[in-house]
Amino acid sequence: MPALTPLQHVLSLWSNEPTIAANVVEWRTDPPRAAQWADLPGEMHPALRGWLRQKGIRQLYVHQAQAFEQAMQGSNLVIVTDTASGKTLCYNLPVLQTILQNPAARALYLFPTKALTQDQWNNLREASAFLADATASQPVSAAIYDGDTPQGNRAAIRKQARILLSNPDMLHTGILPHHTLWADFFSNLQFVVLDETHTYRGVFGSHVANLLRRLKRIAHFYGSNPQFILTSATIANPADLAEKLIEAPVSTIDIDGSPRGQRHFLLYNPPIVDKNLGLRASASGESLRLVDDLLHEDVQSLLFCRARVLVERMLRSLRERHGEDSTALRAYRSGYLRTERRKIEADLREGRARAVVATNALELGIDVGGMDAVLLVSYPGTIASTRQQAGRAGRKQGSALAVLVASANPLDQYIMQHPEYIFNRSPEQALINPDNLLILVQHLRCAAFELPFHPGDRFGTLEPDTLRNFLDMLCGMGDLTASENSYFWMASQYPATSISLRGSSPMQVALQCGTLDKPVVIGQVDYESALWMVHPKAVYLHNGQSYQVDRLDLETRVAHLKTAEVDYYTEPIKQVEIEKLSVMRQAKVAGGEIFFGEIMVTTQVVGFRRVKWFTYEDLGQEELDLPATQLRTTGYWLKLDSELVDDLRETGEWTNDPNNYGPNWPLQRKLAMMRDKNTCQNCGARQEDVPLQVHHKQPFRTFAHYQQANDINNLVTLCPKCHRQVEAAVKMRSGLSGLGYVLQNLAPLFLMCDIEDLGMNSDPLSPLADRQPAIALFDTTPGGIGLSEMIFETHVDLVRRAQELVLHCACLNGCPSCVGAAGPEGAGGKESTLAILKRLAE
Amino acid sequence: MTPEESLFDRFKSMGGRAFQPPSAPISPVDSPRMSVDIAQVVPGKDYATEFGGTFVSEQLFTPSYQHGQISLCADCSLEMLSTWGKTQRLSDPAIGNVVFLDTETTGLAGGTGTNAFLIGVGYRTGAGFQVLQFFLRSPAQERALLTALNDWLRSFNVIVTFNGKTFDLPLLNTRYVLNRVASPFDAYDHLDLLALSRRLWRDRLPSRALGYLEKAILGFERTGEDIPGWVIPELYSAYLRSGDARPLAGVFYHNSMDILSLAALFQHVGGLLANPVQALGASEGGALDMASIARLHEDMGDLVRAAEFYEHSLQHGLPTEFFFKTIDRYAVLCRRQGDWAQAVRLWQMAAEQGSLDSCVELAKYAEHQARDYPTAFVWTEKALKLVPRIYRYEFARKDAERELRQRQARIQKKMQPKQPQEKPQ
Repeated sequence: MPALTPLQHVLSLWSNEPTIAANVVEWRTDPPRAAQWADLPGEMHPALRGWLRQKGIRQLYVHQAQAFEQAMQGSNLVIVTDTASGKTLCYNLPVLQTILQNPAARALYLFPTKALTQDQWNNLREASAFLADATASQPVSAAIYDGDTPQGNRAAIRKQARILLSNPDMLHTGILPHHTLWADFFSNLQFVVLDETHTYRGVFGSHVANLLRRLKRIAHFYGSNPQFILTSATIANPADLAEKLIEAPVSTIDIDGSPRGQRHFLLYNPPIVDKNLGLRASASGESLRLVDDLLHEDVQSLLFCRARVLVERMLRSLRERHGEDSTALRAYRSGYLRTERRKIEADLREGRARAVVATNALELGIDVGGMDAVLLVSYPGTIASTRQQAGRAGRKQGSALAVLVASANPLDQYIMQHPEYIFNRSPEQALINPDNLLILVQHLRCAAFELPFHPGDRFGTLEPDTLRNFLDMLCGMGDLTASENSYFWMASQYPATSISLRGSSPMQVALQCGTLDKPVVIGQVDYESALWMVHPKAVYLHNGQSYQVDRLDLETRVAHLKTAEVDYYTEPIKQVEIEKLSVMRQAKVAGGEIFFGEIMVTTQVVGFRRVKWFTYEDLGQEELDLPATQLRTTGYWLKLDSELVDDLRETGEWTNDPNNYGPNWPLQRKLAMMRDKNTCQNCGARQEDVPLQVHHKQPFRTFAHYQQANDINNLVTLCPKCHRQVEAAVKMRSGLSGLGYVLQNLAPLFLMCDIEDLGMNSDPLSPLADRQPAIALFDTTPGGIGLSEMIFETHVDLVRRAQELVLHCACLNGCPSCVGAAGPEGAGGKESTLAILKRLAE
Repeated sequence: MTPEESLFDRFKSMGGRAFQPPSAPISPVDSPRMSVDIAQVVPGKDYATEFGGTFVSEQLFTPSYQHGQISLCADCSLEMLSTWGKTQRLSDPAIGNVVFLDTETTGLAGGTGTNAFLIGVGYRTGAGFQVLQFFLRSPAQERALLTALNDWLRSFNVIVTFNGKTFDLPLLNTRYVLNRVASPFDAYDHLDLLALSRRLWRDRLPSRALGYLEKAILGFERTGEDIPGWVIPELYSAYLRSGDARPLAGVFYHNSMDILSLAALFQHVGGLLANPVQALGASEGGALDMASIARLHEDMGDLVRAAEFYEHSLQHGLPTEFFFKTIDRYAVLCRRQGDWAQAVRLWQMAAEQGSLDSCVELAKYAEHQARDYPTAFVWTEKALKLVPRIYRYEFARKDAERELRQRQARIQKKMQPKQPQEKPQ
């Protein structure tokens, strides 16, 4: 029997170690996959063949050959294949071929990050040098043009570069507003390459779609009509996203012809340590355990964490456990210097780095070679990212390992229940809304700055009449001026510099700490979040340190903090009002009716509550006087049928098992009845007429100690009829809020968004539904970017997944992994939520 | 969208705002617009092109007109300007081929959305100094304006600007590209007086802005008609909104004064460079200007005249700091030409005034050239005495002292009689 490889050794260890094996909910072994080859296309330039031969490439993978042929025929393409499948050649070959045939041709490559740009440039430089030798002609000059390009080099790059590597932000602020300096470049622009297209989604993607409208407009001015080549990770709708971005038909290439070694993919769910609260062991703690074994056997490993702070914390723990070897144990994240990052990449490729903790900065195509093992410390948020990060594990020969260690988040837990999402077709839709009013207007300003709008002009798919409407509005505001039916930019400033494609709110509040004469800014939050995150007296956590807010100055936009070691945290009390502005779509569904429309959400933070760490004891509330904020956006709402509500009441599904109310209950109950003079406090019925009952205003199970729950102030005397009504209302409230919680948390499974991109509101007397019980989910981007409309469309699926998640959750009364933790708002109604879900999923 | 609301209401309710709210409120629809055409505000007429007409204002300044102390139509020496600016066609005997150009724009940000709405040109004719101002009545008429400008510029071949290299000309080039009209500027020699002014007055004047130079150098004061440059974009955008051209009179005045000052500065600098000794005489600050002119000649490779003007500036009371700097440069110039005697004389002059660097240079000379070690030692001693006066900080002082002590030690070693036998093979 051959000796086990180090990785096999670890795997056999894990499958025999019960405290690990028990947590592995799925162990998938992908067999090695052979390459699918294709001959070099006959029309390929001899010099290009020579370059490939020199790199040891005698045949192409099928997807590369297909891409070459289709691109040379002039089609727009999107290439959807795995990490490390040789995607780069899919666009480099047709671009180089074109430039060899026509030396005047130019190509623009856009990468979402600067690090990627650098990596690709090295690739091209090498090709360019070889081709210059082979053809005895000028090298195909490839150059990076981004914020780091020295001023002194820029003029030469504008003149000489045949392939320009840049990013959307630079195109937006540095190139398009100065297009006359690029007249030659745009006149000959034949290819635009967009790498990692799936990152262009949400607000960023909606901006990029508009940026491409501007790019096409400029290209058109100079008489060119570039062809697009896009690449994307596997998502549900790559072609759809590509077509929305470039507003033209796109052919998809999604056969992956690259070979792969055997790969083990483990889904690891940390064990439950407190069943009542649904608490699990932490993902980072469990990951450290696993890495210990990998390092012990000297298996090179890469750990992905979601947050930069976590990266540093993990690295510290690793070094505590395995020694302070600063080459073998490393961290990698944005914020590190470029040279340092290059060094870590090289150390990974050459095996000197043994374990590297990284953020998703290392997820996108930077070449670090294949790893033996990759650990994902909690679900990265999207299936595409999960696959890309896991794809870092893999050698041409031998086996590799990927492990996803789940956190307690509902989405993580859902994935643990349903591993097929990771392995089968992804349900994730990357959504953009180029016509979002606010985003569109910003780009119309930039476009008008770049070229005046003349009669009959278009802007992407916008109809001339609609466009005119927008331009007239901009005239009315003094941004443009109209003259002889054309529109000209008028403001003296340059619009692009004040518009960020990454969509951060322009109003930021600085978090300031330290003394008056020596203030230190520790970070910033956007204006809307400041109101609930750093309101006066709020406890704010930053880098593991807890601070208390002294003062929030909204005029100067500074929150003054001081460090404070307190044993509680604060929870804002928000008053949310939703107003229905219009209904655009509606449909009957089981148990109710769903809507998609425009809404106005007014939020006011009216106070806050202090909550003790660990015990969740309520330490009291305080009022706050802060301004309300308004969000006009698109939303989805679900109105429950009154039949469903009545039905639930009738069949008594609202009744939980009787609680054990603790030893002081008989006495407290008596005291409450005495205080209330043996009268129902709702209808006035007396003990003589009906047997009275005592009700917990705030549900008993939401308290950590029975004494607090049975506090006389939390009790009220009611007759059975009124009690049932009140209980039903409480349960309705908690059931609705649990429903909202689980839907909001599961939605990213379909939508490829962050949980913060969606807002949620549940209301038993909802103004959206004629005072019927309803929940609403809405885009938190003003004007919406399409998330809530997609929820409207996936409602049935979403509700089914939600039911499965809650049904299979191991907790008793609801936990953060399903319907949310028990809380005074009445959340945590697992039973009630399930009762509603059952009807909705019928 | 709710049916009854306007796009603007909807935009506003989402938090949308104007990009750059105008400083004066936009005239509401109900207040009648008072439209006053530019032709009623400044003298001028429409000039016809194949793309329509464009308004051109004309002004003639008679040969007797004095701009400050400068007569715009006096004879002017062009040779030095031409050499410095590498503008060969400037040396043509007639000055009639030179045009002065300055633009007023809708902003300073640059980029394709910044427009030149007033382009002023000035040139000499037999009748005096002519100023033409091409005005963009509305942005849609830009092509006509650029075409007209092209027509007018055809008879010239040298353009003189103030900061035109980085601002006016690239901006105009962009306008030509955008309007698909061939840009005329590649065909011209271009002289940018800002670059030259910086070279001449960097040490003497606190600012090299044209507005400052016209007061300090030309002795010209503008009238109350003038307006500050920063309000110009706002005045033009207000005009586009209201159609009332009256507030633009100040912009026309501002632009024509810029052209006149540019021409006068050209005249003045030409004379200054042609004969600095005569032009500067014993004027205040003359020595500093002379030193600048010497440097200019040195950079242009005219070392003979550079030496002459360095010498001249040293005789005419340079402030100590510049006296040392000038000696440094001048002595290096001599040394490079092998004229050690002259260099030593200069260093000695500076050393007498307490220049540490010159003491060191003299020590180096004595050690390496003259091989006069005792003298070299004496100069290092003098230098050491100066160290505390020159360096304010302890660490710098120590560094300087250490370096000098090392030099001394080496010189002392060289002063010892040689003992060739001692070294074993």
